[in-house]
Amino acid sequence: MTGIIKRTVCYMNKISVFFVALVFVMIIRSFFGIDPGMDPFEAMIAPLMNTVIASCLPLAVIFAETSSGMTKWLMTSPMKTSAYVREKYIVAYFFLIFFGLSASIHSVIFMNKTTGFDIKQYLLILAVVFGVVSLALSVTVPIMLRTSSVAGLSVYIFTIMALLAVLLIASIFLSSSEAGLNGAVQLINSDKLVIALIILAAAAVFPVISYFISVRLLKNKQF
Amino acid sequence: MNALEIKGLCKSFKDFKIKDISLTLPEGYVLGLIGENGAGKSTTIKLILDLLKKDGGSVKILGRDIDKELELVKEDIGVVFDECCFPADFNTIKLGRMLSTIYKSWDRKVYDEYISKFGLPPKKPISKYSRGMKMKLSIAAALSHHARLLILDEATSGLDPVVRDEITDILLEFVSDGEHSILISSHIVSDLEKLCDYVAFIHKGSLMLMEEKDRLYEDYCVIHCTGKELDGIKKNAVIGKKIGTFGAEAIVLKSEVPPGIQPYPIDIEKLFIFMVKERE
Repeated sequence: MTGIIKRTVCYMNKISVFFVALVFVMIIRSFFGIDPGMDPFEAMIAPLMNTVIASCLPLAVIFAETSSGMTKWLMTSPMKTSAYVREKYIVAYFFLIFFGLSASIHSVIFMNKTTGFDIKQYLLILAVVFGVVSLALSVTVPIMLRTSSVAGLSVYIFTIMALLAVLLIASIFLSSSEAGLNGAVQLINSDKLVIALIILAAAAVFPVISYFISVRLLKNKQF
Repeated sequence: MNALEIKGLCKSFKDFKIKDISLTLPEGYVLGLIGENGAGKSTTIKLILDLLKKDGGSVKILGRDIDKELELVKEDIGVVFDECCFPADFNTIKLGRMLSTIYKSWDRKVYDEYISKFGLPPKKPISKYSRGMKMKLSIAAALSHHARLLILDEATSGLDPVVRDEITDILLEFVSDGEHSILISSHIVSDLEKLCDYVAFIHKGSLMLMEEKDRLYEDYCVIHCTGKELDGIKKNAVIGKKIGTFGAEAIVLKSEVPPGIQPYPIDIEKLFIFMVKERE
């Protein structure tokens, strides 16, 4: 574990300024950038996008390692393939959780300044963020480990966009009919906590499946 | 014990094949893989290290079968590729810190000694190093965890003769105690001639020859003669020949040189070139 942190810190040194800047922007926005009359989505979008961006940056470490030949070299070292893959997931999910929680603090501040804090609403937002980013990471990490290409980053962005598009299409579809809209509102209002927990459970399952796929892919990779 | 034992190694690609390569490197010795670019040297090394999955054959490193016990043997091998694989924005200090998390037997003192001996600036990013410095760093990293077998893939190509000579000296020092072994591939035969105890010629994915270097010097020689004189020598005694307007030059078994023809000592490079040309 110490090794993972040391290595990641070594790699992240250059881009750490960027992460600090992201957190700083989020803090400033939380305290000064919220207008009580603001649309909730508008208020939430920036910190959520920060989470998406920050979670994607550890993928840059995978790219740096594969393109420099470091991954190939590591495979000749005593480091186990599973340990190497695990390290990548730990780093990626550390960033997701750190920035996801930071974004959620922003949500709490927003709620306090507008409608008041609603734990269920908060958990639902958090779950959607974790769910979308977790799925995107789970798809991207195996691709990046296998292909050693920057194209993996495009996959990450594409997955995020696709998931957001699905959510958008679903909301448009539901709001097109009164019955659909009422049903969706009723579902969300009645079972926010259950929905949040289902999404969070899925967000936790994706990386486990993805991890096993990644280990298998890397073990069979021909360098 | 053998440091490396390869039997019947095979691998097929769309347009290239490694065909039935068998090699043995006894502990304490240096084996040079010689071959032209694209001959299959790097592929063979990748197969040894399981970076490529072999189609057939077996590989034993330090007595352990890599199919079953590769993880156990990795602590005892140091690998240097033709390019420095370490992150470009690291310096030697950061790299040492990172490598200490990978190798149980990482020796920081030895690493620092190599860094200072090789004159590598510790705070300068690796990206600012010359190719020679990068190679020295890769070798320092490979030697600082008390590896028993060093595997170098074209580590000296692209380096100037002075740096190549320095690296040769470092490697000779590494094997001087008789407990360490080296497998080195290169197409720069002169380097291997200085360093190796055994040479293996690889051409188009096949092993043409694997022999003790001194044995080659003892058994073979170069002769200059006429075409007619050459025809008088047994065909299987002639390893390779070049026939020109003014006569013939050939590498032949010393024992088969007819009286009256002066035998000259061979060099490995000439032997390799003649063998390749003869094959083609």
